[in-house]
Amino acid sequence: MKTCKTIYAEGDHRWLVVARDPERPGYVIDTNEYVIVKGAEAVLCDPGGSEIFPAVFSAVSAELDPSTIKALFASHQDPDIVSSLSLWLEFNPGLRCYVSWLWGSFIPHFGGTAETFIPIADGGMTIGLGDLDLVAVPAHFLHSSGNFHLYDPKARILFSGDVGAALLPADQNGLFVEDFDKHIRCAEGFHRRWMGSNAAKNAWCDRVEALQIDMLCPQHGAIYQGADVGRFIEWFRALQVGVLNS
Amino acid sequence: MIASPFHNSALSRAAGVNEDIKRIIAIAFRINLMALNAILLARRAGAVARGFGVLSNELREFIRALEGGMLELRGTTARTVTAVSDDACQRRTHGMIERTDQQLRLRGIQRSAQVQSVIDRQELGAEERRQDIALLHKALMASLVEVERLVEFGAVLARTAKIEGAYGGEFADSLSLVALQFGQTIEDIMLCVKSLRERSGGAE
Repeated sequence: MKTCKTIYAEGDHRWLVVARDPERPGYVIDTNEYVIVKGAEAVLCDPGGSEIFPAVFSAVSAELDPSTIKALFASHQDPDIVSSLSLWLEFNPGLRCYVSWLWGSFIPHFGGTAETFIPIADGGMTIGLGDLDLVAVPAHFLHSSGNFHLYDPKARILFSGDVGAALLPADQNGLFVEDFDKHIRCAEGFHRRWMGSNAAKNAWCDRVEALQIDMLCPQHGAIYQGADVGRFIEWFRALQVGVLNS
Repeated sequence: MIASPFHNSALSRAAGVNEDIKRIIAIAFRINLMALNAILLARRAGAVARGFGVLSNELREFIRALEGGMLELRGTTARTVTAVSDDACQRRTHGMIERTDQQLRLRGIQRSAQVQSVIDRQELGAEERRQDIALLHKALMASLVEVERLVEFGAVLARTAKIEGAYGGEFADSLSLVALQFGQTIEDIMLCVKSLRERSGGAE
């Protein structure tokens, strides 16, 4: 059963992660969902696929009233990112979904109406949550051609979508990266194949190096924290991506 | 999750019904040409084939009515496919909501008013969809009864054409042959209508 854990808490400002689902069907990739809570409002990052909606919704419900989720943030358009949209809308038809303008007419195939979507321009935007200003950071071509990450400057946490993702074996199920060198081996093949552009990768590295990041939270695998964040960015910059063989 | 056997069979039956309709429309086109030729032949035969000419005209009218009936059936079938597909999607959603409710219970979380209202809405929607599909099925069957009546009338016309053809004097052989072709073509249509009836009969 997926569990919801708090990874950051400062007053009424929290980051929750819904991670690791040992009961999910083996043919469905495991995903992490992140909830940013500020006061009585929350944003859910990459809500996940429809197949895992029951697990995500019930795990989130154990920690907070799901009706406080006012918006979804979809890093891109993949089914494991946002195909549960129509189910979230069942519970809250007024829910808004932030997503790259590029996918504005594609994601409605999963659900929603014109009112549901708030398009993010290529340069990014600020997303208000209570008195917080979250920042949609461009991450185009990593891997999707219209891709954003979400940065919380107050918590110093970057939700990094597929960047930093690792396909971990069942026995490596810690919430945080414990042994960077061992962990990154499970990330290498994924990044080489899924990330399509070295230029885009380097631009992203420049962009996030300028941010203060205590935790880098990918959609698959473990969370990087402390010095491992810098290690990851350095590793990623040196990696040749967009190649077929790892 | 996959569509239930109900939806699989309802959708594949609808696809089959569509195929039968296409076949009947193709046959109708053929019979229309045959009737046109028969009218010309009857004109050449003169007074002895006047009755045959009238029957051929009636056959053309019959075909026009049959084509209209087929279009109506096609429209109802298309609406049924839309309704059944929508129902399949909604059933999937319903299944997910039920699983969510189960997982909440497993975690010892009480069903909230929000969850309850979604479940209530889902159940109400399912009932409305059931009623819509039943109404569409009723409309399909009513159209089919009309088509069956029409085809019976067509069979009577074909039989009468055989008799009229026999009185066609020196054109009797040619007219009888045309009448025989009419009869065979009407039988083809009857087979298709029978198949339509079989496919549609269990669609509810």
